[in-house]
Amino acid sequence: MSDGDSFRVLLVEDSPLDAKLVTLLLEAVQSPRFHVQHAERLGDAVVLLSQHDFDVALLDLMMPDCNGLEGLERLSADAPDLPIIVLTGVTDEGVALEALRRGAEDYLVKDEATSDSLLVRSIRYSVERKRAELEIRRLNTELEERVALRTAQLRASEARYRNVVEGQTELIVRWLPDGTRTFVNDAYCRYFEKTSEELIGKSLFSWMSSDEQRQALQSRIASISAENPVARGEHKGTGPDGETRWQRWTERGIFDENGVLLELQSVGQDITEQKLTEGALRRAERLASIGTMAAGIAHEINNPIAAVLNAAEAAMRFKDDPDAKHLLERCLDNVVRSAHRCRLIVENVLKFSRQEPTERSLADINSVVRDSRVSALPYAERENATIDLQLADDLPPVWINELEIEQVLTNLIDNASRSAEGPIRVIVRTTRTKDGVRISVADDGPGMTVEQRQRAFDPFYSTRQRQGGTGLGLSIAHGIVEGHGGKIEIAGEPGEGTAVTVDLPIDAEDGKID
Amino acid sequence: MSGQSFLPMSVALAQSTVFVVDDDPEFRESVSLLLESMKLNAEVFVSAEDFVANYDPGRGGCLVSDVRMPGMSGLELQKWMLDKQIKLPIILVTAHAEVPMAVEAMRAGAVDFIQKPYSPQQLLERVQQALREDERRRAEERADEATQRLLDSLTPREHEIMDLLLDGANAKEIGNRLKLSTKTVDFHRRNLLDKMGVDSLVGLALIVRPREQ
Repeated sequence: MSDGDSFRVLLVEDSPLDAKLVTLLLEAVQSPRFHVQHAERLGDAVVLLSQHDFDVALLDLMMPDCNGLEGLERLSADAPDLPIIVLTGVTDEGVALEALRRGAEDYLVKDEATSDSLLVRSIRYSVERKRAELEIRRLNTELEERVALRTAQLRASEARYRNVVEGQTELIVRWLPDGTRTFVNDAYCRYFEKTSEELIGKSLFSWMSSDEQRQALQSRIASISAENPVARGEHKGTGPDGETRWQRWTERGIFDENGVLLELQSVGQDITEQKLTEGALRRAERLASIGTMAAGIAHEINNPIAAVLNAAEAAMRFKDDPDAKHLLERCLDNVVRSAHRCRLIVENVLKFSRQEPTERSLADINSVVRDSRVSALPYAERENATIDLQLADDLPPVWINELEIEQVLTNLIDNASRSAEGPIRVIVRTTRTKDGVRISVADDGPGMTVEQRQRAFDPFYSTRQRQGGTGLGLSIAHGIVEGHGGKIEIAGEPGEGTAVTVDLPIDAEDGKID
Repeated sequence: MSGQSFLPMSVALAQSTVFVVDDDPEFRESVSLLLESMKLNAEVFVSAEDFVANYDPGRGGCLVSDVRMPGMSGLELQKWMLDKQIKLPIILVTAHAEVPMAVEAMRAGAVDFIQKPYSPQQLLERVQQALREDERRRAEERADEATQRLLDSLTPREHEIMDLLLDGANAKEIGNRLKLSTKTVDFHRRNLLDKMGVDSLVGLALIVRPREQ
């Protein structure tokens, strides 16, 4: 290729005169230098082309063995990279323009072209133009190749993705932040019993039947950012046949380089069965514990009922005996007291087995402790017990049902008060813990053995004479504390007194069982 | 027969006491009332320990005890009584239907193992049965003691001769054996029969031999 300083010119001109003229003209130029080779006929030009390299061709459109533009085409075909300047003897713009359209870089009218500067300029221009043209073409080709490669790579990657994704039994969906699905895998389609055409382009939210569900998803989207691109959650929705379905989803956000959320990919699993099993398991556990409790209830109620039978039988005999009036009264009194005990047992059992979540509010534990002391005081005084409070002043408020917790504490204080015959000192202490608050009820009574501590929370387990008590207090207390997401524990050896600690978290969860 | 102390059953029962051990106050009281309505003596205890501390083994009657109590259980009480060789009949009462427990109790000699709630009639029948049993046993014991006292009053020679007589030997054989004359043997024989308060050898056999078994 020309280096801009010299050009090798192929002159295709049938008129020797014209040829000579052009050759002289060009070779006279000092800079750049032109080396001209002349072909009288197109055929010769083609031969020369095959033997030498040229930078440019000057083509006379009127040649003996071809006419006009055909010659141009032939030459172009043979040397597609060669810039061609057509020379015409006729001032026929139409032909000239057509020549340009067909690939000539320039045209010159012979008579006018006798100016060497015009010729030189035209040659330079044509060569340059051709070069640029070739470069563009080259770049285009390169680009096309790259695109083809990229496309092939993408396709391969897409195929791999699809393999991975379709092979999953997990549900995979990609969607825009507004909920519109852009991709669904096979499993997803099968799960919802729809084709991918029916799903893509539609919004995820249209599957959801309640605002709650929509809210849940919205908040998951909101929690995703470039720093934390992943969100996980369980989702309750409605299946194609109207029944409730549960899934566990992992959402991943796809961001552009500015951190803008472009798309989300969610991978999900159906956990409906698991949820049902969990529910069934909980119900079975509850039923089992109800069974145990039923046995316990039967036992508890047996005594008062047996007493009623005995007393009534005795009463039947006393009623005809005029001297036995007071004995008759004792019988009837026994019946009344026994019946009351039954009622109490039933009440407590119902309370124990009730499962609805109860009203909660933010409360100051210290004030609840003070209230329970007030409730427990009369009984404590009868049992010769004193109740001292040691309350911390840095307690956070806790989310509890005040009435229930008060009931628990009163029960614990009562237990402490009657733990021994003689004087008892009961200390109720509140402290702050890492997760919430701790209340401890301690006494200096006889303490409990390992067995007593282990069985203390069993329904109907009681270590004292059944004087109006039902043995249910601690098991109810346990249920209440657990329902608040807390813990209750008993410590203390025989001879060391007893301490019952109740731990309550700050944001107690609802111990909901369905 | 003289020398034996037999009491008429009704009088004996009147001196018996039904001891009631149960930690449940209403139940305890109702049993007491029920027994009273049958003109039986009842004494109540709040626990097995209470009974153990206060019972006088000389007193007859029977025991009605709950099985499950805080502290010493009814079965443990039964064992204690066996250990102390207190032969008071026991009726165990329970709110639980526990077969192994019942079997154990019955094997250890309980009169019955009743489940609460039960018909008061059933309890009364059992109590009366137990009281009769106890009285019978006591009567036998008293008879034994009486016989023993009489035997203690015999001289060694009289003992010898009594044993030989009960073995079936006649006076002649005894005399040969003991190097005594028949007349001496007869003399001792008359004395010992008299001391023992019987008229004949048969009568003697009736009170001595069963005891030896």
